[in-house]
Amino acid sequence: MCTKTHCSIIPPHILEELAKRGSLSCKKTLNDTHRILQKRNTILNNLLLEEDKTGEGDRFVYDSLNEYKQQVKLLLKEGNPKIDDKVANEVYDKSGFVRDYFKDAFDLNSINNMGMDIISNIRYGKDYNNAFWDGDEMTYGEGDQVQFKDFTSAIDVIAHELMHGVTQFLANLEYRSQSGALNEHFSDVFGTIVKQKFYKQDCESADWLIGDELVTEKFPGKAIRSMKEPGTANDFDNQPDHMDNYYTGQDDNQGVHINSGIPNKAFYLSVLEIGIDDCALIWFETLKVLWRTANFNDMLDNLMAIAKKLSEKGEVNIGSPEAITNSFAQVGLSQAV
Amino acid sequence: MKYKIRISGGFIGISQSFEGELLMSESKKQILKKVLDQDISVEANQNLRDSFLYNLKLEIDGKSYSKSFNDANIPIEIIELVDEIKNKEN
Repeated sequence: MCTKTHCSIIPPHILEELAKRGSLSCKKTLNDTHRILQKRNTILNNLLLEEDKTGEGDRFVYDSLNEYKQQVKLLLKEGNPKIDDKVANEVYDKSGFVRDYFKDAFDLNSINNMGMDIISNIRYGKDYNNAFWDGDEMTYGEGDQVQFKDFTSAIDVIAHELMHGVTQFLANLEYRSQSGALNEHFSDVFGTIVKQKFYKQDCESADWLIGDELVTEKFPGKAIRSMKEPGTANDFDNQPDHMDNYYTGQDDNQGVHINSGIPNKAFYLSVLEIGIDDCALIWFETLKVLWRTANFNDMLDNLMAIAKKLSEKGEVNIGSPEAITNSFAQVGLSQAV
Repeated sequence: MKYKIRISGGFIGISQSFEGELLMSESKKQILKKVLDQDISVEANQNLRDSFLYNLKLEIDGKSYSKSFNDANIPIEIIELVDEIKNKEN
């Protein structure tokens, strides 16, 4: 019913309802349709007609030379030896670590599971205090060097941005309101998992901070966000850690970086109960069944279904469903009876 | 030129606001006015994540402009103006 060739004649609201009822093919069609439409509107005129090409997740590192442009000067590509550029070498190595984590843990072939090239742009703009994913590649500023260091200095930032790509291809969560907060949540979740793996930390000794390696001593705080204690990472941190304090304003695409604190806290609590590897698997499998407009309750419903299924198969801790239920209850989210 | 600029969003999510007046050469004003008069409807990139959002209110020679951009569609003349203002205020 929901094949690629038929998807354009089925109204999105019907696809969405079928996706909610568990149809993976409809979810995929819904996500693909939306993504393809965007692509058609921008650069590629028709992805449906394009041959699917499988790559190997080759890395490319470009220098923006402090211009506001991408792919200005190619510095490194897959297999090249190190060069006399610490930032380029670091982003190459760290993006490789992230790619290999997803391959080893979930057998994911690069960002899109089709071996998409991993393109990083460094030294973007002037004193640019940001890193972003644009649908195809990652771009990092070198920071103002007053409050922020180079944005490639933090492994969790690199994993966070790359995860936006993974989310785009697995669930394409819309970037506003709760679906947008989930998009940010998944990037923080896998950003922090990769960071703990990179530094060989365990979940109790880890700091659960996002972007702590990015800030200097002059920054009024210890990090950008805290998954353990949302709202405490810096003087401006307004993340809630409970639905009672849910942000309802319009800023930040209706709070995508704000309300992500709520599921972030629930993830942290779940990890304490069942460990980071079981949570990683449950969250990753959940992302695969979510859809563009999924909200917090949709995620919880699917987390529970996946946790139940995986625990019955003995792939995760038998207590996973109960641990997740309790963790989400602590942030004010419960499954509808 | 009078300006009121708010930069929000981004990975760090900390907003910045700038308000004031900037002396500007006539030739630079003309370039800016030309950019601002365009309907900059660069196709919105809906896959953009962690981008800055730039909200600008500018007044040049008595004419007001109100524009919003992100990192994917902000014209180079505008981002350079923002940099100039940030340098002046910091």
